[in-house]
Amino acid sequence: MATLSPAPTAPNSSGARWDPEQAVHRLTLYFRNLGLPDPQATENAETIVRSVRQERNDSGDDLTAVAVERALETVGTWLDRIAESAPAPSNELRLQLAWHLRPVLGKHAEIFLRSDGLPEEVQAAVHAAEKAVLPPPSWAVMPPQALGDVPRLWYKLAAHGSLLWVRLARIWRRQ
Amino acid sequence: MSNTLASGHVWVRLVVASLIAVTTAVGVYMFAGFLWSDGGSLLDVLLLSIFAALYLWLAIAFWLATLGLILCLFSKKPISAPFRADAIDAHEYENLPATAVVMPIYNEEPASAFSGLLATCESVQKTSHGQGIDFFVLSDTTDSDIWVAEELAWATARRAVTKLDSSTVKPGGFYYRRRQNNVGLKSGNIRDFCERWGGGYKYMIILDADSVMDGWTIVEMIRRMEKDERIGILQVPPVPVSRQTLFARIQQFVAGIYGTAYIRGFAFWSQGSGNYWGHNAIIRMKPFIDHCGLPRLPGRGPLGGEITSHDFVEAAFMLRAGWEVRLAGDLGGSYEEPPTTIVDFVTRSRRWCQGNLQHLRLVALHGFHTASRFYFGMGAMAYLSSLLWLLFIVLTLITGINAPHGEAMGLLWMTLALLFLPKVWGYLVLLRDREAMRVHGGAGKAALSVFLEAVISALTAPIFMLFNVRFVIAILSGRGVRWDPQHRSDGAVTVSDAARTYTMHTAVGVIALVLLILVGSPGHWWLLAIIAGLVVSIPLAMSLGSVRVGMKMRDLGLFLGPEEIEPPSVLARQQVLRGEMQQVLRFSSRADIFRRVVLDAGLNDIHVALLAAQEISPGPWEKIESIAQVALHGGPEHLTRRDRLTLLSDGNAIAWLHRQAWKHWPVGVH
Repeated sequence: MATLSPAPTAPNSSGARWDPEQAVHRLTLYFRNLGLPDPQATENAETIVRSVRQERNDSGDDLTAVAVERALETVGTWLDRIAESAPAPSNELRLQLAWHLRPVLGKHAEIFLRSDGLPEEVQAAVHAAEKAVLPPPSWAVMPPQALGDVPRLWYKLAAHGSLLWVRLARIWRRQ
Repeated sequence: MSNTLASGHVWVRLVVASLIAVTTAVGVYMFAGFLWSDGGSLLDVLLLSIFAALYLWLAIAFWLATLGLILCLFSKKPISAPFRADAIDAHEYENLPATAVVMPIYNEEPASAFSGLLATCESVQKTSHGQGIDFFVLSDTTDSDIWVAEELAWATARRAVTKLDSSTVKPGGFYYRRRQNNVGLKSGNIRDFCERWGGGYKYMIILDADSVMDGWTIVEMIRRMEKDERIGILQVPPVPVSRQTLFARIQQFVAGIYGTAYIRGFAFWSQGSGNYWGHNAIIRMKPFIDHCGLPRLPGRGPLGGEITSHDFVEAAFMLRAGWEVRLAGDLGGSYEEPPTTIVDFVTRSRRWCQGNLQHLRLVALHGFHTASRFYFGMGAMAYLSSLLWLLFIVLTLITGINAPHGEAMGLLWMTLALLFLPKVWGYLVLLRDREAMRVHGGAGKAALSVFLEAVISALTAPIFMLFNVRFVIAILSGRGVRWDPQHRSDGAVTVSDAARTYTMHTAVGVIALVLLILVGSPGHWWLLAIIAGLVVSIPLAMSLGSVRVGMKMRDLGLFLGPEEIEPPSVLARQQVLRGEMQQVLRFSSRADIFRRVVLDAGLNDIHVALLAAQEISPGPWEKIESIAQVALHGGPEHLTRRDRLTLLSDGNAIAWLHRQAWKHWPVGVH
């Protein structure tokens, strides 16, 4: 799996990273992680990096960080819109969307950043995300049970049993 | 049940109890005659008392197996005949009430647990009666990495369950909840479920982390509970399956051959006052909640505090409240995976040992059913018998008793019969059922397997005895046991592992052998039967824990079982799902698991959703910021397990880390 690891990277002269290629690469990884196939993953990454460069050129900002922030916001807004268009919008549904959309994004890359006219398969994924993570509680009280005492009869039985055993043993010995 | 059958059953109980008493009395009488042939002493009385307890234990097992044999021989239905749902009126399966299938887990291997539950869920769905049956994984996991793996396994399984939705019947829910604080251990975990969701379900089916159940078995359990409103708990005996080491194969074979007769005998004998084994059972929720809440035992130490073996006590409470506890020995479709090595077996035993010894405090308490007292006593005796056996051997040596001779030979033969005839009974049951014999390898190979099993169990018996003696002494002297998860996969016992674990056994065996040679008389040579197992304990443990040896036995047609020759569809499906799940959960390192939950947008959101659903509020940012910064700038490798647990327990922190890691963790390809 392509992912990120804490290996060192070279900062630019101002201390911030301003490497468009690296920013595109990172965003491509992010979009792939969401389930978006290539070339859409790369194309979306390039689009975002390009727009950030146009807006913030020479601002001294970290291009990668700004581009990632933009991508996260864009995706977040998209997922919010899908969640809001569901029959029963909820935060729980919103939080399950990314997981359930991932397998269908590969087949329906065109729906990325779209929230209307979703194909049936995508709608089924949204429907799956509607299911509650946990069912609503239906509270009950389970009281710890009381333990009884040892009845006197048991002490008597134990005492008489031991005596009987010793007597039997004596009788056997005499025989 | 008709009154005739009920009264007939009382007679059977009386007869069996009488036979057990007579057998024990005859044994004790013969041993007493042997003991006092040359006078007697106080030690002799002690020896006779120990002998009586051990002989009673032996007689109970023998007569229950014999009762089972009789039932099997006179049964019109062959033992290999599976339960047939089509013989039941289909209407009885319609509109089954809300039922929760719960699987409590604790630091278990997620691929195994989730594949078992998913296979069970799919199997239930195939019956077309799965609507209203919800599945819960109740995690008490404390290891942060296993926690994340469980969430990933759950999310993957849930996606698979969603696909079942296309069929005519909607699948039930498939849920995962993890407790932050595992108060009350496993019983506390179940209690938490009952208090939170118990009001929404009429029944609860409890599975173990290695349980798999057939869908028809589950719906039939619910149907039987609906048909008989007196039943509080219905236990379906789990059959050990799917393991390949020689040790596991022997357990699977034993359960298939001897287990059948014993289970039938026990089920008939116990009727409505049976026992519950903690999993693969259905429970009527309302009386369970009202009457089965476990108290803390007074006092501290291993025998006080939390009740660690909850099942017997819950069954006892259910009986005390007037409900029945039954064993459905005829049902089938109930599976579990056995321990694969002696060490795995005794790890589990150690936990059970503490719980069963705790039960001794309950035996005499007011209000319990006689049957419950019997089960408490039997459970404790499973471990105390080892101590008694060792004491018995030592006392026979001290009192100078030599090998049995003359009249005492009769006692020896009777004892051997009690020990080994139940194995013969198992074989006789197979002889009556051609199909059952075929799936156990045929008459010749099944007979050879029975013989080899007898030899191996004789060799391992002293090894288990020493382990159990250590456990009993440790627990009685106030040293409790940790709640270790059971190791549930096939593995290999290395030379160093075996040497480390069995040094004590080998040393005891070698010293005893040397003493026997140097100072023993011919009358002591019977001790060789015990010493032999100890002397060879290291190679024996390695062979028993070996998958290669186990597979070799399978190739030779030995220790076969029906589930191996013709695997039930639910087990075959579980194997496939387990393989797929293992692929999903394949990580190069523990840090990689944490990296996944941070970077994977879907999993990160799911994690946050699960925390929110359990109303686990994020803590103050100041407390967690320093750990989050270490994770961000140093990477997961710089976090301790505790740090990872802290971050994972905070929804805000883990969501923050997701955003920051994508910005700042440098790019790499794994």
